[in-house]
Amino acid sequence: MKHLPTVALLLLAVGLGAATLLVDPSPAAELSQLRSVGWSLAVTALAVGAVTGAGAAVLSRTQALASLDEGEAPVGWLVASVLGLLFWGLGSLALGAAGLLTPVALAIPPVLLGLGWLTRPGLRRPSPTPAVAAIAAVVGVVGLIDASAPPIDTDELYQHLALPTRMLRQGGLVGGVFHADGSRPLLLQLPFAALLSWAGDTAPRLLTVGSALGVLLGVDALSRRLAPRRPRLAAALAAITLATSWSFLHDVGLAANNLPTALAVLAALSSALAGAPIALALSAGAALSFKYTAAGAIVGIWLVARLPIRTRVWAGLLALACVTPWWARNAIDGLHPLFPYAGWDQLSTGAPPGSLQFQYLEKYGTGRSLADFVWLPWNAVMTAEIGSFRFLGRISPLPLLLAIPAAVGAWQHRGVRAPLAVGLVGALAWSAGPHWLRHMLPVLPVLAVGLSSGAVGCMRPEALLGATTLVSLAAAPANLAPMLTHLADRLPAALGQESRADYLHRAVRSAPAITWANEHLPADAKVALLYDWSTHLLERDSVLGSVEDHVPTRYWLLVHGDDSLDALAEQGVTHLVVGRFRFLRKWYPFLQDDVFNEVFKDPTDLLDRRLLRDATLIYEAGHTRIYRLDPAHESP
Amino acid sequence: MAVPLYAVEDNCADRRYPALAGDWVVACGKGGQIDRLLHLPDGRTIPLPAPLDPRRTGIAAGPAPGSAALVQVGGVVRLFVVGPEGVSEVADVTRLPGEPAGLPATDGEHVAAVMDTRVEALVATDKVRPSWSAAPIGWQGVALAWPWVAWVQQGADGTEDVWALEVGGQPPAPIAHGPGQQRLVVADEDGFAFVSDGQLMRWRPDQGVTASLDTDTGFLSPPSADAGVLCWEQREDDDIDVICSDGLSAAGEGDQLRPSRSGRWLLYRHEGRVWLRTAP
Repeated sequence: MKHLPTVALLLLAVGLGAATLLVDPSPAAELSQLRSVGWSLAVTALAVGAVTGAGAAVLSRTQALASLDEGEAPVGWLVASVLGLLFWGLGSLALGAAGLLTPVALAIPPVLLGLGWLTRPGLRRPSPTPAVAAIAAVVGVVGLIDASAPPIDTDELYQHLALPTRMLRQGGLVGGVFHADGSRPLLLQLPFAALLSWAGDTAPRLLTVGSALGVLLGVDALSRRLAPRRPRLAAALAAITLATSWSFLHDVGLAANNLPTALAVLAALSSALAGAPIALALSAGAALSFKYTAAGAIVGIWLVARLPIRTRVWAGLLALACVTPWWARNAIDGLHPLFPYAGWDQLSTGAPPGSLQFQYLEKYGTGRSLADFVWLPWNAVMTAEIGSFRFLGRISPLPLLLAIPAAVGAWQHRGVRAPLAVGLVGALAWSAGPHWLRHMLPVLPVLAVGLSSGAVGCMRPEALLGATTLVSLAAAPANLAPMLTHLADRLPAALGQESRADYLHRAVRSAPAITWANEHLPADAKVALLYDWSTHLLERDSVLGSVEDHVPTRYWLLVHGDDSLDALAEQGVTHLVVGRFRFLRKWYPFLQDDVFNEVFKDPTDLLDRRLLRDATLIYEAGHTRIYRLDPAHESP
Repeated sequence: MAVPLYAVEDNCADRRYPALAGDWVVACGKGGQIDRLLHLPDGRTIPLPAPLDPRRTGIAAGPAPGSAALVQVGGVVRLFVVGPEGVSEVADVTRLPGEPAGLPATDGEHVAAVMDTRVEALVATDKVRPSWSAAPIGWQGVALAWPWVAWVQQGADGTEDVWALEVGGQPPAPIAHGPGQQRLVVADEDGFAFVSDGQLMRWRPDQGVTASLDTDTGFLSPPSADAGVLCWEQREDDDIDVICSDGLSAAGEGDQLRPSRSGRWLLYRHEGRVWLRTAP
C-alpha cells in the first residue's frame, strides 16, 4: 500500500500525457511518428541491454568487474556494453559470411548474448553526478531530435546507413570495388543492419545517441576516479568540454562511428587503469574495429596500462586478433587488408593509370609545414570551420584554457598523468592524419578527463568555474548556434509535422531524383551511383556510390576509360544515378596541373562524354540525372 | 551562320531551357528561374512579371504570328502570352491541383499537363476540368496538338510507350508501344513526333504514323518540332550534331546538343554556351 500514491501519480501522468497528445486541436506532433520513434527507442534499448549481459558475464568471469565497479563511480557498465557490441558485431559477421543477414537471423546474436544476464554478473548501474546527468539529458534531447528526423548527413547516406541497407538487400556482406566501404571493418554497421531491419533508420542513430550518453557518463565516472580533489567539478568540466563542442553534438544523433569509438576508448582506458587485461584487449579491439582512428589513443592506453609488460604484450596481440577477421576477410576477397584505404592499384579489375590516392591529407586543415604543426592546436580550435575543409568542425576552446593548469596538476598529482598522456598520444596521432575534428572525437573524452582532472588539482574552483564559463560563453556562437539552427530545421520533421519526403527533398540535393527512381525504375533494376552519395535512400540494388573524393567512380572511369559504361552493363548494371559534380582546382593546390587533370578532371569529362553517347537520359532534377543503360550501342 | 547568344545563359534549373517559342528565347536569371524573354528580331529583352519554375513550365508558339505562350502548372496556373507589345497574363485560368509529373504544354489558349495518376487537358479558362486516369512516367513532358494530347507512360512489359487522347473524343490509348522504347513526344501543327528506339516517328491523329526517319537520337533531349520541321541530336561515332529535316544543321567540332527550333531559328547548346543558327 505504501507505493499506492506513487503508482497513482504515474498512472495520472501517463493518462494526462496521452490526453495532451490526443486532444491537442492543432497537433504539434504526429502520433504515428511518435510511435515509430518509441518503437525504435525500445528496440535499440532492448538490444543494447541484451548484449551488455554478455559483456558483464565476461567481466565477471575474468574477475575484472570487481575492480571496475569499485568505489562510488563504477565503470563496469561502460566496459560491458562495449564488449557486448564487440560480440554482437562479430556474431553478425559470422551470419554475414554465411549469407544469413535477415531480420530473423540477425536477432540470434542479441538473444544469445542476452543469456549472459543469466549468470547474474552483478553489474552496477552508472551513478552520475547531478550536473553531468543534466548535461547528458540535454545532449540526449539533441540526439533524439536529430535521430528522429530523416537522415541527411553525407556519411550516413553513403556509408553508415548505406552499408546496412545494401547488406540487407543482398542478405550478406558487401565489399570490393563495387562496395568499397563494405571492405572496412563492419563491427558497427552489422548491428546497425539489425536495428535498421527491425525498427527503421532511426534505430541505428539511437545507438549512437546511447553511445554519446555513455561517453558523458563514462567521462563523469573516470574523472571522479582520477581527479585528485573536487572530483564532481572535474567531471562537470570534462562533460562541458564535450557538450559545448559542435563536432561532438553534431555526431550525437548520427549513424556514425566516432562516438561508439570514443566509448570503446574510454572502456579501454578504464580497463587499463583497473588492471584488467582481457577487458582492455577486447575494448581496444572494439575501438579499432569501430574506427582505425582510435589507434593513437589505444597506443597511449597500452603505454599507461597498469599491467606487467608481458601481460600488455598479450593484451595487445589479443586486441589485434579482434580486428584480424576484417583483414582476413579482405585477404580472402583478394583485396589489400586495409582496402579501401590502400590497394586500389592491386585490384583484380585492374590498376588505374597514374596515381589514384584514397585521400590527400593536404586537402584538410591549414597546412602541413613545420610551422603549421606548431600552430595546429591553436588553428584547429580557433580557426576551424564547420562548412569547409578547414578542419570540418568546431570544438570548445576549453582544452586550450585547461592545458597549462592541467600540466601543473599532472606535475603535482601522478594519477592524472595517464589520461593526459593518452590524450597527448591520441592528439599527436590525429595530427598525422587528415585534420578533421570529428576524427578527434575518439580521444577527446579522454583528453577532457585528463585536462579537467589535472586542472582541479591545482586551481581554485571559483577561478576554474569563472574562466570556464567565460570561455564557453564566448565559444557558444561558433559551436552551439549552428547546432541550434540545425535542430530547429529538423524539429518539424522529427515530430512528423513535415513529411519525410518533403524534408528530404529540401535537404538532400539528389532526393527528388532518388524518389523518382524509387517510383519508376524496375524492381529488379541494378543502379550504379556515380558522383552521388545517396545510396541509403535508393530502394534498388546499387553499386559504387561515393567515398572521399568519389574514389570508386573515378577508379572505374580511370580503369575502363571509354568502355566504362559498357563495363558496368556487363556487370548487370541497368541504370545510372549521376551527380553533376566538378572537382575545383582550388581544393588541390598541392597537386601539379597534370596530376589534377589526370585523376580528377579527365575522368569527370570522360563520364560526361560517355553519358552523351552510351546512355539514355530518363530523368533529371537539379544536379542529379538518371540514365538507362541500353544494350550495347543500340539506340534508345 | 551560327552565333553565340551572349545575352542568354545555359543556367536554367531545368536544362531543357532556354528554348525557343515563336520569335522569343525563353531564358532564365541567376536563380535558374524563367524570368526573361529575348526577342530575336530586334534583340530586346523583356522581363516576366513573375519568375516561373522551369520544371513546371511549358512553352510554345502563341496564337498570333511570332508570339509565345508560357504556362506554369502546380496549383494556381499562370498563363502568359508574349507578343511584340509585351507580356499579358491570361486571367481566370482554371486551377490544376497537384504538381505536374513532367513539363506541361500550352498553345496560348489550351493547357495540358500530366500529374502522377492522371492527364489534364482543357481550354485554359474553361471551368469544366476534365481529367483522365493515366500512369505517366514523369519528367518527360506532355505534348499538345489540340484537341489531341500525348504523353509517355510505362507499358506492361516495362518499356516506355506513347499514349494519346482526344479531348471530347478518343479515350486514352497507346499510339506507339513495345517492344522497344517509345518516348520524348513533342507536338506541332502537324501532330506529334516521338523517338522510337533508333527512329524518329511522325504521327497524325487522322492518319497514324506517317513517316519515320532513321536517326540515332533521343538519349539526351527531346527532338524539336515546328511547322512540320523536326530537329534532333544525331550521334555520329564520337561526335554529336544537331540535324533538322529541312536541311538546317549545327555541326562541327565538339558536341551540338539540345535543339530548339522555331521558324527559321535553331537554338542549341555547344561547349556550355547557347548558340543560334538562322536558316538562309
